[in-house]
Formats: sequence, structure tokens, C-alpha cells
Amino acid sequence: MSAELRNNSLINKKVIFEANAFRRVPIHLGAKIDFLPDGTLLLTSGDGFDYKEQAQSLNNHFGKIIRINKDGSVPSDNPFVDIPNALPEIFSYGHRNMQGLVVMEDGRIFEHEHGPRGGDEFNLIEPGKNYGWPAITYGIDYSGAVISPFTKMDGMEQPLKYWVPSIAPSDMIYYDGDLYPELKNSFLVTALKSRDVKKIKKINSLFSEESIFSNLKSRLRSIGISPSGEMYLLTDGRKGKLLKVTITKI
Amino acid sequence: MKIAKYPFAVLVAALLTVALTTPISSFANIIWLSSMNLPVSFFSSLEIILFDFQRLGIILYGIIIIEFAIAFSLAGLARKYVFDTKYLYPIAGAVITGLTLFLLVEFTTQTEILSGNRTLFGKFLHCFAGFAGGYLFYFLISKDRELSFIIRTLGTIYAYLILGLVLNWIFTPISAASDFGFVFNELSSSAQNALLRDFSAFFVATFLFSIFGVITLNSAWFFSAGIVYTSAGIFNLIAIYTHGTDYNQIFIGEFFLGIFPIALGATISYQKEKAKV
Repeated sequence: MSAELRNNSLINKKVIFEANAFRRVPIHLGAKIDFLPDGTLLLTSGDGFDYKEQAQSLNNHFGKIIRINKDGSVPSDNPFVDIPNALPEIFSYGHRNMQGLVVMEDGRIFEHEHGPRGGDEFNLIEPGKNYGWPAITYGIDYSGAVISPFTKMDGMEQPLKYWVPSIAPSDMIYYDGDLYPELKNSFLVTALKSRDVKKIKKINSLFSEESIFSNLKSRLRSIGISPSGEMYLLTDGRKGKLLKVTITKI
Repeated sequence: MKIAKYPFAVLVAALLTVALTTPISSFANIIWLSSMNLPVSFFSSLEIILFDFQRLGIILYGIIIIEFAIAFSLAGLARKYVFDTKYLYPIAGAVITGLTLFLLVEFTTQTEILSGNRTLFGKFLHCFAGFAGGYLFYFLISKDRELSFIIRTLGTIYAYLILGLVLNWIFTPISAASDFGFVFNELSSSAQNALLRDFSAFFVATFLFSIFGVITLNSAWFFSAGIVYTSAGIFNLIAIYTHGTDYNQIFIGEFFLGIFPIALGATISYQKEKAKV
């Protein structure tokens, strides 16, 4: 839905996109939204858990990243616009339960998603690419069942990084501010299961990982930067807290 | 033996139902993977079926034991006081299996955890697996069972527990090694070879010992498996207290896996000696 914010009220509300992903399960819905530098909008739509196989079909919105214009129309340069029986809004497919989405200034798109038991992924998203779920995965089902014996396949993208066992990533930012010098130019991924923030930094062609804020011992739901550059963390649960990160000089 | 046959019949019937249930999800998965033109071979299909039987099955086994215990108790009462037909247990098995799968979805995750249960045909097959379990239960309680039945039941469950370790070391040895604390890639090539070779042989051998014990009821097979795991437990403690390695509480499991088959072997030996006298 799009709307205008005036005097703390939303006006001119208009549904600009409705996912063709009807589901009766209340999970794996979709979580993130962001603008690309060209002004188009990216939306993530989860695989619906019971409908995971649909993530490999292009005739629905299960397990897809969607790209639309602000008015809901489809950009003419979307990758599947001219493909018969494919929904033209689809930007990439083969995703599971996307929880983090970052669009860089240069237009590169980074995303992370929950795997099943194991196999959480950190991906570089490119138009038209298939990210493999559930045909390839590094995880197994919650029940212990095999989802796929394959982890790699031609025509399917490999994650930049994956986590086994799962960390349950919940949100992500790319920090390029100056207030926290040690975190500069890093991806910061909050995690529910590992109860920390993963600081991911690209060094040469590899992505290093460091666990920070693990002393909080809390399931971390989200991370954000205020207009003044301060970092906030949101913890998960009935007594969830919004925490402001400050630097203490010793 | 008259009373003992009932719980052991439930254990065996539940194991049959697990063996029939887990392949439903496995085949649903294999069919879908094949439809995506993925290179599903005999070997990879076997990997899916066996892993599902062990990992998914062990969860289902616990659930099915409980549901069968309740359903067959009620069916037994119905047989005694309402009407007596041999189909009561199979019907009870089918109904309780279908009901359990329905309730699991509605009152827990709201999702269909068993992929094979998403279609109407899959639901029918699951109920049929419950029906077959009920029929086996009826067959097993229809006459008095000997001690060998109980030993074979316990021996089969023991082998089933070890099966998971066997599968891990055969199909995903690097992952299995990391479960034991090895950083596989940091080992030399010779060390990697020794690790995979020896650990795989260790678990495959003990699994086979227990299976042979179940088939032949020769106590030597159970003693062999028991001695191996008991030794592992003893040397685990020696490593901790003599060589100063990290404390590893897995020795509790090792002693359990060792003493259990030794008890089975001892029971067989005792019965044979008794029969001689």
C-alpha cells in the first residue's frame, strides 16, 4: 500500500501491489521493502512454508523478490517481462523466508533469508537469477527430513555466505557512518537464534564474520540507524526493548 | 509374558508404521526434485529415504507410540465390551494416525510438517500406514509371545538408534566429523582418511552386529556391539582424567549403547543355559 504522511496521518491510501501467493499458513509471508537508486521498489515475498516448491515457478509470488514502480506498474526492464507465463513483477526467485534487504548506493542488492534447520543465506541479488530454494539448500527440514540432497546446481546461485547451524538472521543494515568507526563499511546482521549481531565485512573476495553484542544475550529482531547516525537495536519477545548503542570512552 | 506382549507389540507396530510413513514424504520429495530435472540418482534417492526414515522417523516414532498406546487401549476395551472384530485395531490405527496429523497442524505450527501429507492421496497413505500398524498389533497380540520377541524388538530399536550415526558417516562424513568436534579441513589428508575410514567402520560394524543379533539371536553379536561402546565409554573417561582432554559427556551415551546390548546378550545366554538344564 502507498500513502502520504501528513500531520501524522496517512492519506491517499492505495493498494499498489497484491501478491499472488494465497496461503493459509501464518508464516513466511515476506518482510522487507526498499527502493532501488532508479526509484523502483523492491518487495520480498516469502515461500509460504507449505508452498516452498512454488518458489521455483514463475507463475506466482511465493519465494520471490518483486520489483515494481511506485504506482504499482511493472518496470519495462524487469527480467521476466517478456517470458510467457511468468509474472512480470518478479525480479529474482528461489528464495525462502527473506528477512534482510539492503540496497547499496551503487545499486547492488544484498539479502539474507532463513534457511530451514541450517542453511541461512546471505546473497547478492541479481535480476532474473534463481537462488535455488528448495531445489538446493545447505539445510534440512525442521522435522529432520531431507529437503534436497543437492547444495549446488547449474543455473542456481550460491550464497555469498551460509550458516549451518542456523543463526536465524532477522534484519540487516550496511553501516558506512562515522560514529562507530569499528563497524564502518560492514554489514550488520541481527540474529534471533545466535542472539548477537554478525558483523560481515568483505576482505578481498571473502566475507569475514565477527560476532558482536553477544553480551546482550537477547534475541535481536532489528537494527537501524537514526538520522543523527546513532544505532538502535530491537530485542525480541514480550519484554522486547529498543536499545541505543553508545560509545563509552575508557 | 502375557502382559509384556502388549507394550512390545505397540513398539513393533509403531516401527512398521514409521517405516511405511516416512517414505511417503521421501517419495513426494523425490518426485518433485525429479520434476525439476535435478539429477536424482538411485544413490541420492536412497540417501533421502534412509535419512528420512531415521531422522524424521525417530520423531514420528515417539508420537506414534503414544497415539497407538491410546488408540489400541480404547480399541481393546471396545473389543471386550462392544463388539469383537479383528479390524478394530487396524481401524483405530488408521483413525488415530489421521487425527494426530490433523491435530499436529491445527494446534502446533499451522504448517504441514510432513510434505507427504499435503495431498489427499498422501493423507490416505498415512492412514493406511496406521491401518497396517494396527493389523500388525492385532497379529502380535493374538497369541502368546516368547522372550525372543521382546529381545528382537529391543534389538531392532537399538539398531534403529545407531542407524542415524551410520547414515551420517556414509552419506555426509564431513558433517558427521564436525559433529564430533573435528575441523575436517584443518586435518591432513592422511588424518582425514583415517578419520572417515575408522569412524565409518566403527558405526557400520556395531549396527551390523546388532542386526545380526536380532536375526540370529546369538548373544555374541550383542556382546560384540556392547563391548565396543563400553570400551569407548571407558577410554573416554581415561582420556579426560588421564590425558587431560576436554570433558565430554558423550560417555553417558556410550555406556548406554554398551550396556544395553550386553544386557540383551546376557539374557539370551541365560535363557539358553536355563533351557539346557
